[in-house]
Amino acid sequence: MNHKEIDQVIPDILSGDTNKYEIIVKKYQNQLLKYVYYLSNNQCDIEDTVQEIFIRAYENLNKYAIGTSFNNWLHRIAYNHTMNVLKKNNRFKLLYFSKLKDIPASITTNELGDKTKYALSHLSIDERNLLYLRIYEELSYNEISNMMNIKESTLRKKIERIKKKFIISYNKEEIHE
Amino acid sequence: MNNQQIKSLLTEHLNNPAFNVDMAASIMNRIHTPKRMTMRRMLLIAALFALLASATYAAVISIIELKNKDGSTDFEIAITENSSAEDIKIASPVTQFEDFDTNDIPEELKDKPCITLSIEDPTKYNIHNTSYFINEYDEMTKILDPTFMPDAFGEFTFERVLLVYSINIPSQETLNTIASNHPSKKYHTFALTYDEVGVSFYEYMYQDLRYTVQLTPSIDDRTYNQDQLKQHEVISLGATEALVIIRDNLDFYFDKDGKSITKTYENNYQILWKQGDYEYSIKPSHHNVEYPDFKDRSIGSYPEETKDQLIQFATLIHNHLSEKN
Repeated sequence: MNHKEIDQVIPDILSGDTNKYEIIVKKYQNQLLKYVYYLSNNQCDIEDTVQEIFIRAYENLNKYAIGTSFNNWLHRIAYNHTMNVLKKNNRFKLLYFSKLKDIPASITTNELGDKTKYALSHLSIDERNLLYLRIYEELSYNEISNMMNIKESTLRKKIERIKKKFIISYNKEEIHE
Repeated sequence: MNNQQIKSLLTEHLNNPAFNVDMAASIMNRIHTPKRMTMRRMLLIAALFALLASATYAAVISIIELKNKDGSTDFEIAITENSSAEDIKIASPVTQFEDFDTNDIPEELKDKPCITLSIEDPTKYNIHNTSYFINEYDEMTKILDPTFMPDAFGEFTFERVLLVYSINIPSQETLNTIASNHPSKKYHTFALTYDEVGVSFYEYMYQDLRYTVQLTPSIDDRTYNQDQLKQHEVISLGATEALVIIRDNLDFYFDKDGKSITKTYENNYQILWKQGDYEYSIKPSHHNVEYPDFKDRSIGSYPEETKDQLIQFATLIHNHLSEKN
């Protein structure tokens, strides 16, 4: 099912044919599970969080503007809700939210599983998200700017820094105790 | 490593573990189960209206406004030092309430009044340039955490309004003094904003320069890391010692056409001091490209009078904070 077909289904759901929402759930569920897992570094109940995302999307479906990207809209909800869940789970005992990424120096790449995971662990959640949107989803700067409410000019330099950071961490030698 | 290579790595990473879950049934079941208004929600609505109707209100200064993307202000709450509930102006009707877990609120704040508001169409607003007060308080670090984003539907809770005032908001009189020194009334209210890494700071206009006032918890002494300071002198802000830091600053910004420009600022002054549980830093704000009516201080060096202005402004803020605390 493509984006245009999704846009055709939504008015039906809003008109009362709520069963059609299942189409949207089935289309995006695995994608969102991966996204939440990726963002959160598996630090929350993934399935529970994704369920809640779909519920929130459903409850606010009337706020989605037909013709824009439902995928982006849904990911925005997913991002915000995941952030909120992670913050609540950590009970705000962090100086910066990004400190969820802190990895003790004694951890080796082997213990973290692979070099990509190791490199991602050195990015904050915000940084992982931007990397995902720009590189994996291949969204334009303009799309990401609108989604995340970040100025496009700020975004460009930020993403360059994130890529550089990822590459450096990826290529880094293993850290030993 | 190019973008495609990074994408390949991410794709491989995202495919492991392989999720193959079908949660459609449980989601559809929840959708079809009617939602009832909980007792908590009813009590919260009742408490809110009782609060607004009450004749007295704790002394708070807070200016909260949401700016539309065209720069106009569409929504404002102004709570002044001596105002009563009648002075609270809410331009946008309250449409929805966010349930919050009272266990998340520190003990000393539990008797503070709370205001929870929802914006009907948050996509209209340029949220990052908005003044609003953050709704979480980190008990250990005492930082105002601006990364608690309003969700996509504009729900956020202003329950920390009183706390924010007690730390660092100047009086309306001070704001008026600041505003009256500048011919443009564009920034006659200060804005609580944050940069992309989520640190809270305030931008003020004082005389003809924009300043950034940043606060960080004193738990982290990095601000006073002597190794990081190229050069500094000690001054007095009343009874408090402050450092005037002079450091070279390399920064990137973009001009009006989106072209990236790298600028080096010589003699970039910054003032640091500790007061109470916080460290404060004030420096000239350099992102002036979008505010053409401001004198452009973002290129080249800051002359000596900037340092004097900075000290004057820091003294103003320091004195105000000393009076209040």
